[in-house]
Amino acid sequence: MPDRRSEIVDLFVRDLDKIELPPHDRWRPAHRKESYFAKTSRYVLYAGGVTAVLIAALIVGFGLRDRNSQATASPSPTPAFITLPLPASSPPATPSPAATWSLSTAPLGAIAVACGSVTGYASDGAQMLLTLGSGSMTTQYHLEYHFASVRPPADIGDRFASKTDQLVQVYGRQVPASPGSANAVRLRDFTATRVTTCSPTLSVAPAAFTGFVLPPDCAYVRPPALAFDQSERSFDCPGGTLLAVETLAPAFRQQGWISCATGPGRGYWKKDATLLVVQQVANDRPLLVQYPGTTSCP
Amino acid sequence: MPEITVERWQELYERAFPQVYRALVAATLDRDRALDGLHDAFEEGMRHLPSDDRNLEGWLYRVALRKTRRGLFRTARETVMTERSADDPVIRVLQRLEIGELLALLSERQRTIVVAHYYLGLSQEEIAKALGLRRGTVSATVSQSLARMRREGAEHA
Repeated sequence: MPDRRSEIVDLFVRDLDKIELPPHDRWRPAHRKESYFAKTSRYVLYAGGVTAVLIAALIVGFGLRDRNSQATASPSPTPAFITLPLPASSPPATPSPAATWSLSTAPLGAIAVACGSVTGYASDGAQMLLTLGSGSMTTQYHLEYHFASVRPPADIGDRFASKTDQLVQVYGRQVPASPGSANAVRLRDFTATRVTTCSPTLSVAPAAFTGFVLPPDCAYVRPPALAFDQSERSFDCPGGTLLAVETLAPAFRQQGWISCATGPGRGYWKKDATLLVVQQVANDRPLLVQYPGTTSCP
Repeated sequence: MPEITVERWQELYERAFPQVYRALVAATLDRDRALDGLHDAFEEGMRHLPSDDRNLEGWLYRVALRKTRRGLFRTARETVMTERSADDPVIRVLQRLEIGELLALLSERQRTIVVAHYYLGLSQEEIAKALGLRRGTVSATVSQSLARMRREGAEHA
């Protein structure tokens, strides 16, 4: 046995260089022949993938169709607005601050406020289905935790399981229901808090367009676009959009609105806690934009 | 250091193939495993070209060895291969050679390190890096392997 490094290296090289090499055409990998099983599996995987994509597209398509059927195209430049169907009667003239809605028919984008005892609960860690009841009326809410303004109490489920009475108040912006919970009221930017007392009513307070009646020769021309923080309506008056600010001014004053300011193509009017803005719109009808909860002029 | 292109990679692979293939056969005592591992290493290089051509033999050797050890049926495969290698004419020739007889006395891990050191010319540092071992482990393995080859070789002689 050689014991010096160079001799060992020589031995390795001398002997291992005698190992026969494979034919040169086998030095690189050939396209490996695919077994019948592997080929079948591959086709099945491809077919499964295509099917999954088609199903996903169908789900998305149906979701969009449902959404479109609930909300027609909004004339608002603000895409977040959801438009309500135009009432058959004349535009709302009653200066009531807010209407009471059944939750199941509440307008999308409206703020839902509800309080009641918990009569149903299910959660998968990412979302919960919470049923609040008052008397014989129950409503289910679909609350996804990542949309919560404040994390809901973690022990709602435990208390429900132990049949401990609890009152919960939810507050949030209503959005289209998810396909998996079509009957539940789905909320965004919500809070769900346990309360000791509440008026156990289920109600929604939409930012209804109210408080101003157009002059007799003017008319609303499109359904209102309602959202929880502002609402819009297009209207038409003699003189068109260019004279809209001046045309409405007498009616505002007559109905007790106070002029805040008049800017280029805009007029600002204030009454109680509501701000109304008359706004020219290029190549379109003028707009009335209502900002509820505004206590001061801009 | 010029970047390796696909064409350059193929050229370097062709140049390194004989030495790395023989080293893999000596380490695994299985020419099919050696060839499969090299093919996999070639494809790996096509997908992720090495950053430079320094120590390309070491890179191929390491990747090929790793590929030969991967898989759900590794143990069963190695058993079958070891049994089959007795019938392999190439392995029979190797085992008749002096170095073949000596390598047969070692474990596959010892053969892997000894062949890398004495045939591919990798330093102990390079072997340690390539195989994910400590340098001391490589050094000890080389010493133990040489001692065993010396002892057993003397007995056989």
